[in-house]
Amino acid sequence: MKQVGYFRRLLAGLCTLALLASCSFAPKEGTASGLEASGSDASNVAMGRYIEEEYALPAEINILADGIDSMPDGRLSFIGCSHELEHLGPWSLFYSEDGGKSWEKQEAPWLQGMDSEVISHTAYGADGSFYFITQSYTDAFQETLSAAMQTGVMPAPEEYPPYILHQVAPDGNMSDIRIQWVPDEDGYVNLLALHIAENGDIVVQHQTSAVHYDRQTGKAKHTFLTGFANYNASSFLYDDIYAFVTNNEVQQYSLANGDTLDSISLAEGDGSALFVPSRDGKALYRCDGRGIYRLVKGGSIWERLLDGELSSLTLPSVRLQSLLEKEEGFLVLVREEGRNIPLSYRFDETVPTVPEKAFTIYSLYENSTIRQAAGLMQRAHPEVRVDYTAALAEESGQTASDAVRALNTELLAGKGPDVLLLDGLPLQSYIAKGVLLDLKEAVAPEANVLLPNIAQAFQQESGLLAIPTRFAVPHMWGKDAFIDAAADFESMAAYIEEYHRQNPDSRALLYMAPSELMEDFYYTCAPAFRAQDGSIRREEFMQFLSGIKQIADTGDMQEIGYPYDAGIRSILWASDDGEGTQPEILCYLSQSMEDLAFPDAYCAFVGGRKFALMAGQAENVFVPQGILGVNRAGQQELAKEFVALALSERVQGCDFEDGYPVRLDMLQSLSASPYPEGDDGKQVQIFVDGEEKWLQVLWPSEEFMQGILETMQSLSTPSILDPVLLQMIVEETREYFAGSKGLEETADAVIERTQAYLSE
Amino acid sequence: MKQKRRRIRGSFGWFFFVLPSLIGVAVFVLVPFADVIRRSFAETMSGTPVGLCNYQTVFANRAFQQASYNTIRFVLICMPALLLLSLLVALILHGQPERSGLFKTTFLLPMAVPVASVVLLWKALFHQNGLLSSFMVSVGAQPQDWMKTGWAFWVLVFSYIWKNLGYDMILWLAGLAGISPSLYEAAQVDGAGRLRCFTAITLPNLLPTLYTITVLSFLNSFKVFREAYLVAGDYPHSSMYMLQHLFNNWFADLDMDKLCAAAVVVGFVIFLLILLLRRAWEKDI
Amino acid sequence: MKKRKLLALLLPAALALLVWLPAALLIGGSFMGKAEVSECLGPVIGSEKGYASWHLIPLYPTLRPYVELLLDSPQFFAMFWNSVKTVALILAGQFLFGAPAAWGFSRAKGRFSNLLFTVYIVLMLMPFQVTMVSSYLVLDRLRLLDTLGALILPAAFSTFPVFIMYRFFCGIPPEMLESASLDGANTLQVFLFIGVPLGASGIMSAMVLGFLEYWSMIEQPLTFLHDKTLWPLSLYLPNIVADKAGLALAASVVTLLPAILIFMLGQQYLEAGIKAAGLKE
Repeated sequence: MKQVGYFRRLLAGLCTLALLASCSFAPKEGTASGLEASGSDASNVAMGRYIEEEYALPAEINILADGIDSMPDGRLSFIGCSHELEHLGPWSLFYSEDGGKSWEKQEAPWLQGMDSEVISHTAYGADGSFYFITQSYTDAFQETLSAAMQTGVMPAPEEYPPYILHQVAPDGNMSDIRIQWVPDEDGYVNLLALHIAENGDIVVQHQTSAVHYDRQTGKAKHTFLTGFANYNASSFLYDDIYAFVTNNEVQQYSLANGDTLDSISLAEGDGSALFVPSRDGKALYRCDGRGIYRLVKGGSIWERLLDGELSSLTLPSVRLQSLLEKEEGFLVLVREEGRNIPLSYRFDETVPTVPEKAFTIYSLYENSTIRQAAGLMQRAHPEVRVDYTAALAEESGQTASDAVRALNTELLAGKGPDVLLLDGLPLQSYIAKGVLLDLKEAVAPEANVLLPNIAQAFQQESGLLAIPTRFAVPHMWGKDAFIDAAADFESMAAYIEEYHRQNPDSRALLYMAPSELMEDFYYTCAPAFRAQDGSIRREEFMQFLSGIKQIADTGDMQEIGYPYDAGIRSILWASDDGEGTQPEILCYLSQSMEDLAFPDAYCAFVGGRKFALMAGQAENVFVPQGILGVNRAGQQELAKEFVALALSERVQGCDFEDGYPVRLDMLQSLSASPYPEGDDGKQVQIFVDGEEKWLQVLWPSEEFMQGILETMQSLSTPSILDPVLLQMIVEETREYFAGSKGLEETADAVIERTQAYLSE
Repeated sequence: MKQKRRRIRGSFGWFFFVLPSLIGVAVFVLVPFADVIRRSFAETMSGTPVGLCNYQTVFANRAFQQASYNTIRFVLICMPALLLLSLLVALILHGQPERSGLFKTTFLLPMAVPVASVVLLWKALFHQNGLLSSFMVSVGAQPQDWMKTGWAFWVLVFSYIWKNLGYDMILWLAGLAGISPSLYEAAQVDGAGRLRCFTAITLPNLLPTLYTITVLSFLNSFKVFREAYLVAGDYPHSSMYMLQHLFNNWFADLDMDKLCAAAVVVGFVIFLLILLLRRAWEKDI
Repeated sequence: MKKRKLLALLLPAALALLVWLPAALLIGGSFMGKAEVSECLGPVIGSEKGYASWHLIPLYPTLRPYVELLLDSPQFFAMFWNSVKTVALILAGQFLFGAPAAWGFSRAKGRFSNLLFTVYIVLMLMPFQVTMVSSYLVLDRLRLLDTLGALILPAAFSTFPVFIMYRFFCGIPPEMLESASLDGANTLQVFLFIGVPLGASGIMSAMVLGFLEYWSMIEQPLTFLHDKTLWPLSLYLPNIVADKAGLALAASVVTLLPAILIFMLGQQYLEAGIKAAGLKE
């Protein structure tokens, strides 16, 4: 016995040791790359913050050849043109002496002859020389290209005009440098980025590799195998090293001997940021929506210098183009709403690092519209920290219910966020319990532009307690005969059954499994089979079930499981690639005008197809999204301002594909074609009758859009998916759809099962 | 004189031992509970008193009725089962202390497994496509969706017994060890058979232990909620829908008024039960 | 006689197997590589058809999940130490405050103490959801929110260990106490030098149970701690997704180990205590 006891103790002791030992292996917090100092402790001082200032480029410039460059003497420069879309001349050269605030056009005789040249890359050498790459897009070549779009066969590499590298010495003389470009694996020469080394050598990032060209001979000196490069992958030179950024590391290559050096590893997702070495070569900067970070050379911690949330960098409508370090601070070139905007960041020591007052916006899941509004709110109120948290954005042991309970605890304690995004939250409960503020005042300024039916979806006796900022519409499109027959749910189901009897090989819809069908049709049928108080109406529910059964029985009951999607995907599924049967109708929830453009183009191209609102037991259904509510116990004035901001033109006019705007004027402007004249829109590869074709998607006709706008104005029935109820229905009806239970019995079972839920 | 002083000390000295704990309990447990009682008589957000309105709502609420029924049913089924089973095993092991070491460790193991892992295990075992189903198929029986039908209730019972068998057994063993062997010897000398020994000596001496174990098992039956919740979600099959699910959901819907009223009702019922139990089983106090 | 004894062991053996099986699955599974886990658990996680399967001994044992867990996930260790700190302090608190209280109740006679003790029991039985909000408010008033104190203090004053220790203190024969006080010991000394050692098994029981309970506490940190760096280990296990299942299994086993350790170390004392408490005149 004693021996057994000893043995046990020994084992226990060993285990303890092992555990403790392995604990000490743990990387110390902060040394794992990508682990950032949380909050604002980038510096331990509570003062000092980078202040953002928005500069402007000269009004006539619309396109920049290759972003903004910084010259060795500290000035900034760029080459731009005034075309809307084309990268062609006449080009102009601008300098800025004050860090991007003001720009002066420069005399550049060498630019004169470049009108029909495409300038694709610019860079500065250490001696102040300016380098740029041109390609001649003659009319002849333009024609060749257009012809190629029709046939779908791209021109051969030789047919493309060559890239020519020019150098402009500080004295203004231009000369050409002959370089023998190295083609990529596909035979084409693709130039993605241009860099000039200290000794004048040229380093170019191609599609699948980077090449270090000898300046004198024009031949490749070293080739660095970087792997496939995205068009916006960052690359730069520093300290005789060429660095190339991939998804999870910064590759480094020596220019001296072509060796591959150790790479700097990055946290996941950091690779899509902008990178630039510091001017003194001692550090590396990184910039993305989360802010600007610095990595000291040889170190392993990225220190956060600027919190993206306190700047415009976090706005979903902003696309980052380039980052450079100025004499004082940073200049980040972004693109917003089609305009190039330089944002300047200057460090101000007199401002507290983090504003003391906080304004909190809460949502379960990340929402771009709200993020945009939050960013704009921050811009308007730099003295307040606008904090937008999506509770379930990161993975953790938390479920949605846990998050809701944590939120409720705060609400009950009289605290809680100032603004709530009510999607996924117990909206009705909050309304019933008086948690939310009447938004009449907040909405008043925009009231006459909002679509009345949608804006007032949540109007109660006690006031307007919640307002959607977006909405989606259940649509369907497909063969004419089907759409015509599908005036309402019953007739649609009956027609499908009949059609299948005559055409046994046909497939009515894309998703044919009962559970997926019920989810598809939930939006348009639930308002009919659910009463005002939420309980289930027996008669209508039985109609719903039998309709679904009629449709499901014509299919193979297999769940597809792919995510529900709209727009492009729906046409891809519509096409028959010979593998499955083409569905006759496709149903989906449309979220933006693009979701209409694709099916409309398809219908016109293939013919014999129509577009309509989805059939259901209820009519004129829309799905409110992005529903905002204001916490009575929060900062009411700021919150009301936020709601007004979310409903304003600036936010509603952006299309984040998360729902249509609730403003009529923005709806109208978004319904206009975004493509300028002569643009050839988007191309999608589809299959028609087994043949591969290219579908050109432009924009639906004005008539069509007019019709859509009218329809949207007549939508009056809000319908929100209740996933709990749907799940219960799916579970209880499984046997019914398998044929082993009767309709009435099933309906009763469902009503009984949902009793507890509904009566809570 | 000495005796009197000691008795006085004996009567109140205990209070000082309890005091520190009492203060802490008062702050961290009693005060919140008092708040719950207050809220049961008031409206959720505004706090205005509404008398017995909440209690009426709760008793009439169908969900509450169903949850109460399920909870009572669960307790009435699983607790006796657990008590009997653990007693049986304890009796067997008590008779053979040499071999019992490994068994004890084994039975205590389930208590150590973290909840999330238990959930993973249950999912693997009891899912429609899980291991149990595959076993059923291999012996020719029908696979079931164990968690989504009436079987869910029994899965829960199994989970409860699995987790608590060990500890109850240890407590029985502790109680059994407390019975002096001399009592048995005396009985055997008197000619009593095994059964008589059991009913006349073992059982009566185990009563205090029975009380402890009953209370503990009752407490643990509430804890089985977490597993049920993680495996079957907020709205499980109706046979599994218990009071904690209801409380959870009421909380998610901000129905604090109903929640607190129901909680007070439940607390009151438990209070009565405990009083009865104490009276029945602790004769020396 | 021997045969009967062996036969009698069948029942515990069968039960033991039933009990041991899930745990074995867990441990075995933690050594499986990603592919094997997905293959086995795929149907359950939802990615595949058919039925789940399991190999008690993995076909391709690998230490990868453990490596990934112990070396690649720094937050695992932060959470581990959070758990250790929290539980250690809770148990210390329970002993400091609970043991004297249990002693006090066991020596007390009278209606008042009875009532108080019954109140203690009732309080113990309240599910967390009921007092959650109210506790939140109290903790907020005391500025304990978002600190480990929010977890430690309410638990340290839990009435549950009082209940367990009470039972064991009751079992101490009063004669021993009488003889001690006759020898001149005051009530405190009686408690410390006689009560505690004799009631050790009860105290150990309470400690072990307390450890298990608080090692896997979930609701309290979710509600009272917003700062994720303070979260304990029990919240680490992520939503079990097919490709993370291996990691989750390894994490489960690592979380399990300390609890097992406590058993192995504590069982000795437990048994000794039981024997000691059995000494009745």
